[in-house]
Amino acid sequence: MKTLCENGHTISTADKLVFEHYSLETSKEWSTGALNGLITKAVKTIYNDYIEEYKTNNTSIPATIEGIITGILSLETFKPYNKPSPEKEIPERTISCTEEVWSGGFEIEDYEYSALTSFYADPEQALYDLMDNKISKRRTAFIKESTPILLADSTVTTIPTIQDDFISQFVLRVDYKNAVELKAEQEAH
Amino acid sequence: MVTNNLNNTYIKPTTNHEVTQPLQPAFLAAIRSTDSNVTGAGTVYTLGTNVAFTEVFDQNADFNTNGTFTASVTGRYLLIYVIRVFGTNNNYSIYIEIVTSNRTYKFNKFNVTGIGEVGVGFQTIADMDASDTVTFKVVGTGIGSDIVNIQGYSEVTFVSGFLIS
Repeated sequence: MKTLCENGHTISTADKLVFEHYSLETSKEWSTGALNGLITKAVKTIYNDYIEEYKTNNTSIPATIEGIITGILSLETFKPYNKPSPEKEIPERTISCTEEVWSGGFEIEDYEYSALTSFYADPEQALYDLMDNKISKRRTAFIKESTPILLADSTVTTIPTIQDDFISQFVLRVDYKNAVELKAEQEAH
Repeated sequence: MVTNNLNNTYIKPTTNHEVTQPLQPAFLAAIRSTDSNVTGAGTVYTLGTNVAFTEVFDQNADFNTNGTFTASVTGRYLLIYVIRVFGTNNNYSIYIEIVTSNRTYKFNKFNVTGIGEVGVGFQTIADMDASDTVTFKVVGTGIGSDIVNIQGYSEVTFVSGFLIS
């Protein structure tokens, strides 16, 4: 087994609030899914691109994906893909990141690690970038979806223009519920 | 004309002027054998957990046969879910869900009577961020134990999706 991102990762309280507005998962669960997606793409792409050549060079091949990937990566003709982070957008943060969300990192199989490092230029950075990208996209969506609610509320006199202020103030509304709270409310009915 | 980046052909017109996009995320996968006793007593079952999906195609390598599709880029994705359940003499209720990282799409609960096969399906256009996941779930309720089965021959239980924009 190998551990990825063992130094963890921190996000801000506003990041956490906006993440929880949409997601029933924790940010570590989301990141685990993201990592599994990176692994799936790396393993399947390497397999698809090299399996015929691997077969040509061997009279038989292992009957496991782990064995096949290990064999392909040892081909003399195999070339690392050096793919950049799939997507990267930095959140508009004005407060510091103090919430640890990846404590302990992520454990993956050795062949998965080999596939990741052969496919992505920097798999750990890709995961950091994807987490930031996710938060940035949700911040934008949160403000877009929440602004009409404030505009329709005659008791609201001003709307913050700084994202962190907007988020931290909106979740203080008496009728506000995040994704987990909304689900619990729906199931109670 | 063939449009390339450094490594790949991503827009490929044919000699007859159709245009294909070989790297555009798109998948179709089916359950090809019976997945037995998965729900009925309220268990939330994720398709692909016990019986793996068989891929018909997985363009761009984003689908795992455990039933998880991962968005490779932020965008709008059309997601399609069709399921057929069978095999209990009890009356029970069932609902199905498309669960994405941003929200859960739920098809209304409906009642099933007798042993008959019942098929149901729905679709949505989902907003997904890069590396968001989607899974497909079924929940049966009203029976004391999990004795509802998912039918798996041919394409009676399948999931599909692609990036629209």
